[in-house]
Amino acid sequence: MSEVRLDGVSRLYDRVVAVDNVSLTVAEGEFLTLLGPSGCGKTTTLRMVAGFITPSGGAIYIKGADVTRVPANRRDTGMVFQSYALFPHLTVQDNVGFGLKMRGIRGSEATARITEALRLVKLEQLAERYPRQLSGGQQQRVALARAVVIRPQVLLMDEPLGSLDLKLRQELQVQIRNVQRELGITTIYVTHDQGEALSLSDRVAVMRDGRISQLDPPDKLYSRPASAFVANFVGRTNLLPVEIVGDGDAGYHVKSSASPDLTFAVGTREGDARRPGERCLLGFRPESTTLAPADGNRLTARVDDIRYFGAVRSVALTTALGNVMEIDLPAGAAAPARGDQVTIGWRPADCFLVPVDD
Amino acid sequence: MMWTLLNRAIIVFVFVFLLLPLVFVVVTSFGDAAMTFPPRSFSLEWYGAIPQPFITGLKVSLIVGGSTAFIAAVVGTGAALAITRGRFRGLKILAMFCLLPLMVPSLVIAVALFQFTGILWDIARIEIGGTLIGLILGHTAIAIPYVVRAVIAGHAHFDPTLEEAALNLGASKWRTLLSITLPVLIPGIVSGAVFAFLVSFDDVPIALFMGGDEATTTMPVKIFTSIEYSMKPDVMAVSALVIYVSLALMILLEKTLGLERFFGTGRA
Repeated sequence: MSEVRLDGVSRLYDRVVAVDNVSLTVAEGEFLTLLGPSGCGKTTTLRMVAGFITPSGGAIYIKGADVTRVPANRRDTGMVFQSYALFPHLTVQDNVGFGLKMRGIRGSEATARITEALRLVKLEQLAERYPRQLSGGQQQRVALARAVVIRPQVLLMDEPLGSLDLKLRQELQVQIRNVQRELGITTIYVTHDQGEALSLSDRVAVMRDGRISQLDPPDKLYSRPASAFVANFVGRTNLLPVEIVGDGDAGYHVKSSASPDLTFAVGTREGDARRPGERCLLGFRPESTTLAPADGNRLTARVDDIRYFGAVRSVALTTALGNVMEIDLPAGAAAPARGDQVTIGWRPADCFLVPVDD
Repeated sequence: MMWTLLNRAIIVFVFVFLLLPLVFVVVTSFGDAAMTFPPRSFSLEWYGAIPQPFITGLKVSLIVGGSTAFIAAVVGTGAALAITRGRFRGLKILAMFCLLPLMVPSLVIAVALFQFTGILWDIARIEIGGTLIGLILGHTAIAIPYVVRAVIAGHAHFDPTLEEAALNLGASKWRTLLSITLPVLIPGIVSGAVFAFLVSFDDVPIALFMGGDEATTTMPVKIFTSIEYSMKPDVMAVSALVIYVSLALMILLEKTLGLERFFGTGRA
């Protein structure tokens, strides 16, 4: 049975639609991330699951029960906030124990569970401290312990790492994932950081303008984005306007809209069948592109700029078609110079088609 | 350099201007019967010679001040929460109503209260004039704005997600208010209450109008009426006592909560 189900959930603010008919199902123990730019409705969606916002339409189910009208304090969700929201006048252990106290769990059982939760986030030795005596990362770990100690039906996390620096964020990502796996707790996670979404989640729902653009596992989201928006929001993408020429067993044949002599092979078929003559965008990732390929799709281009990133060199190009593109080359490989004319290539299996109208 | 010097000179002048009268009172209270300044000899005799009515007045002042602080803290906190969070018609009027006594001279409020006690007697045969209750109510009226201001100032730093976190963990709205909101706001509430106490402890006009016999005469009123007839060093000792109490409260407030929090200079 599904743990959390959203059925056509909407939310309006003064006639502005913040969340527009969102339906999704989170399986038991699943880690699902709502990913999107600010204002896409991801936080509003999460807060509707928590019960802080009442949907304007639709229904929310937790463990099969309709909780749409159930107040937040009787929903049995555990929430982690971006601002930590630790109670400043309570010690770490009293913060963690607050939810237990509200459930009438006291004495030795409460102590045991608080200790266990603090052990889970590796903070047993700081139980007596006050939140102001802790670093940001430690505070967020306390908040995580406080949310899971009540063994909620679903763990909700609203940009929990948003106010931490990069290094700490990566450490805590690992810790969040470990805690989530160890407890097998159903989790909905909100972030605008695509790297975080890809590395943590079982599935990612990319949201835009209050709707879900695509809901897929991270690898599929990255290699087979369903729209130009998703392709650009999740990782970097080069896009070429093309037209379908033919439809074969191995995939599609397409030609460049700007220069019909140039044809490319696309070795993937996602979604609805595309008819010859249909216009769409051909996408491929900077890192799946090579220089001077022996076979596959090819395109000539002029090197505009080269930036060095340690592991890769990022090369900015202007193609023969006039598009500006970006490719990544292994830093160890021979690098072209600015102004060079080069041929770039990519395998048919490494590219995808997305609709133009987006 | 010039400006720094001028700046310092101004600061020194202001402090001297504000504190010199207090210093005069305190020094004279240790002086001799002639009340010359500076005194020719120092002693503690006037503290020992404080007449009984002043001691009674001090007790009345403490009772009235304590009750005022308590009632003003309860009502003022409620009003401040309504002003900062409420969304209802008349909110601005409520806010203005709560802060108005700060702008009206307390003498005017005293006259109004005096009038009010008369009307209350005429209409309902309830006598609050000349009673401790009347005195406390009058002081509460002028003390509430201080609590409202202090709590609103404290509330500006209040993170509303704290309440969401409490709700999320299963606390009811009331439980959240009692276990989270009020404890987090307590510094503002306490500093407001301390100021409420001081406002009551300091007041003459309202205590003069609302007071009656010995049991409702506060210390400032006692001082005020006694210097009309005679100016003796024992009055200086009593006045010095008032300064000590106020000073002690201020130091306590600063040590525990920090005064910046109340005055909202943004450094807290």
